[in-house]
Amino acid sequence: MNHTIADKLSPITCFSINSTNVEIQEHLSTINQPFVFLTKDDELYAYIYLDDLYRSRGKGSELTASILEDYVIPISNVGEWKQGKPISLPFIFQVLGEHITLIKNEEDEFIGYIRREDALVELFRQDNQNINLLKVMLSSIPMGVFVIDSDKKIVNCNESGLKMIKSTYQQIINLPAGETFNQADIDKAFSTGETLLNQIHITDDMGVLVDYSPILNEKKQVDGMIIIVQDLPMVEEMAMEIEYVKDLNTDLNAILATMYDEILVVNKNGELLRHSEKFIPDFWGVDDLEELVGKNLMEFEEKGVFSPSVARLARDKKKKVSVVQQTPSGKSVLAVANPIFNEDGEIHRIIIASRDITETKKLKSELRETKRLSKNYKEELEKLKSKDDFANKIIYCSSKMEQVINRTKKLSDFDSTVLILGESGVGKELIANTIHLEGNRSEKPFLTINCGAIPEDLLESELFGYTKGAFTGADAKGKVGYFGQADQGVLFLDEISELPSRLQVKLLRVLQEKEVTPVGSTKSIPVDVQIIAATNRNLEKMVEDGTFREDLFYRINVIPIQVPPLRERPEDVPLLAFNFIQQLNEKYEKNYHLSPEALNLLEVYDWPGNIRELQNLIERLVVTADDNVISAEFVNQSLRFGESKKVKPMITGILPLQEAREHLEEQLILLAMKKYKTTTKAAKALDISQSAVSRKYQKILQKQEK
Amino acid sequence: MGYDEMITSPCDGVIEQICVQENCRIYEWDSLFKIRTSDGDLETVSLGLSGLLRSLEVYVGEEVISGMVLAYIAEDLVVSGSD
Ligand SMILES: Nc1ncnc2c1ncn2[C@@H]1O[C@H](COP(=O)(O)OP(=O)(O)OP(=O)(O)O)[C@@H](O)[C@H]1O
Ligand SMILES: [Mg+2]
Repeated sequence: MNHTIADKLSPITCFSINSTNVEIQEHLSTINQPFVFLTKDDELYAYIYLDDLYRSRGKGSELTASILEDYVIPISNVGEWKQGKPISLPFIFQVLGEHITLIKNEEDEFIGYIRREDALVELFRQDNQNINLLKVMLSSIPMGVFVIDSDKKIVNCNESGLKMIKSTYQQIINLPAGETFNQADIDKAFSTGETLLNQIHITDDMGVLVDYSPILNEKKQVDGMIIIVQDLPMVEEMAMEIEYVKDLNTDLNAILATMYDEILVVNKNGELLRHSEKFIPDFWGVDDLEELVGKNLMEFEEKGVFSPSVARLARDKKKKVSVVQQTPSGKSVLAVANPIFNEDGEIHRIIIASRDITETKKLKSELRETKRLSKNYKEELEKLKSKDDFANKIIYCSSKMEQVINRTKKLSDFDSTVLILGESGVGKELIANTIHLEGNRSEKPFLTINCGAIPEDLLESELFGYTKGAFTGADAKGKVGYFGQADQGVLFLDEISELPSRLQVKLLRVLQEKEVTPVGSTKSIPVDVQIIAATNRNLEKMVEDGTFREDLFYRINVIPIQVPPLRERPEDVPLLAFNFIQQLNEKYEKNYHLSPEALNLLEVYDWPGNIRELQNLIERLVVTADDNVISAEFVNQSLRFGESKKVKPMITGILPLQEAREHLEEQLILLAMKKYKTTTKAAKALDISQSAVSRKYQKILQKQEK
Repeated sequence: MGYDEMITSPCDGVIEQICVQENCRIYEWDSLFKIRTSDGDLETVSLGLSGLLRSLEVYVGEEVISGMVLAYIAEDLVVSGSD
């Protein structure tokens, strides 16, 4: 044992806690030391700090065992300092915590105690053990500790602290703490004397959590500071994340830049927070959007730089707003402002994405102009086409047709009623059309109504019109009939033979009085309409049979035009065939033509369906032909001549049997005569007598003459 | 095929009537919006083109300003018939 300890060593005076009160009083009165030790069952178990006891109890007071119990301090709390044993850090703390330290000799016997001050002095003098106690203390703390003196300089620190700030002892010792830590925080702690906890301190190479804890002297003045530093593992991660977000931002910027010319982010007040790298020059009147950061964009509107502010609109309306704005130099900018709301539903940010649409607008208007022009051209073309349209041109070379055409030309100049007669497909409608086009009513409407295709009631209202409320299902406003619509023009009544007798009366009235009475009306309206009627039926026969009104027949039969069937003008066949093929060639950019033999064949055919049949046949031939030259053989297949020498008669519409018989007979005789040239041969082919053929043939020729 | 065209307001005012619906076809001669201008006049908005109304950007009673987009339209690129 060191002599200095021995100097300070006090002997252990003890008595049993089980002593009587009198004994206790006696013991205490004899003790002249501040500490007294107690035994229980001969074991040293506690001590009492007498100063404590007397301070609260008074020195001369009655003291019993039970009172003493309140002041005993267990001996186990007290540090035991054994001679020659190395000193550990916890032991130092134990010494610090208690009034005394017990001293043991090498034989493990208590030889006395020393007071705390003496123990500490002794401990710090023990440099022979090479322990830098403060250092040990500091380094054992899992946090960075920096000791700052009153000049705010770092005077000491521990290893963990150095690690956290990624520095060395030599580098930082005696340096102002403000160079490493937050100067403002340090100053604050120094001036207020209050501890600042959990300050996040992030620099390029560290991220730490810092406590600034001032050291106060007895006068409560700040003498220095302990800076406690903690690692922030998530700070590292955060830094990584920031890096990632930065990258993402660059990518996003690039993506957005391709879609928008400018993107701005403003807060709810309209102050610019962020902007894209790209921007629309000349719009804001600045060279760099950076100049506008922090400025209120809505003020630009007030200043009159531009109007209106799309951000203000989006804020006020609380919804997406798009506005086309004009820049001073005349650019058109489409700005779309999108408000972004926070959790409380308030506007947090407004994103404004803008695009320069000047070029787009220009292109669009050019496109529109082009569209308008091409539409006009299309209409012009349509007109030209219809002028030159084959469909409206009557093709013929036969003298029979020439007569017909001459007749129509003559009557075109008059408003007389015309009746066109002829088999199905001979071109009755075409002729009606020509009469209108060639006549003095060509600028006025030409209306066609097929009397056989519409139910009676409907036909009536279509022809004569009706007043409002005339019948259920009728148009509320009433309707102008065909007569009304065709006023000053031409009304073509196709299939006039099919007109129901009730309407025949009504039509007669119109023709006689030149006025119509709409369905449901009592008032008649004057009309000026040229009537062209047509039928493929034998009207005279129908009058005889009583199915067509005689008075009406005479009324419409003012100028009859009999269109001859194609078989009666075979010389037209090649011309028509040629024209139809030409039309198709032009339409499909092909180059088909009929061989002379094929044309011959067409001429011999009797065309019960007349020109419509010829037209259809040509189309069928062209569509199915493999060769540019359409051969007779190919035509033959389509006409089915070859299957049987006896061609089956073809009827294209319902007609009375007697009429059909007459037709058929006529056709057969004509065909036979054309083919065999003599009545004898024809009679043989038809299997009737030569005189019958001769008689019938004469009759047909006479009829044709008419 | 169509491309987006927008209808913008010709004036400042309040939307009084919307004559069209989203996803319906509009034609050159259709009037699309009626706007009561700040002067009290009723301005009819129509567009010289036909197409499909893709989205309506305003509602009846909404205040609009000149240049504000009222609707987006997918315009027909084909020349429409003359009939
Ligand atoms: N001479 C002709 N030149 C050119 N094409 C014609 C000629 N005659 C008729 N056609 C055409 O034949 C087709 C039938 O003609 P249209 O419709 O005028 O016959 P239709 O006599 O009215 O027949 P239906 O009695 O069956 O109504 C039409 O396509 C027409 O253009
Ligand atoms: Mg016809």
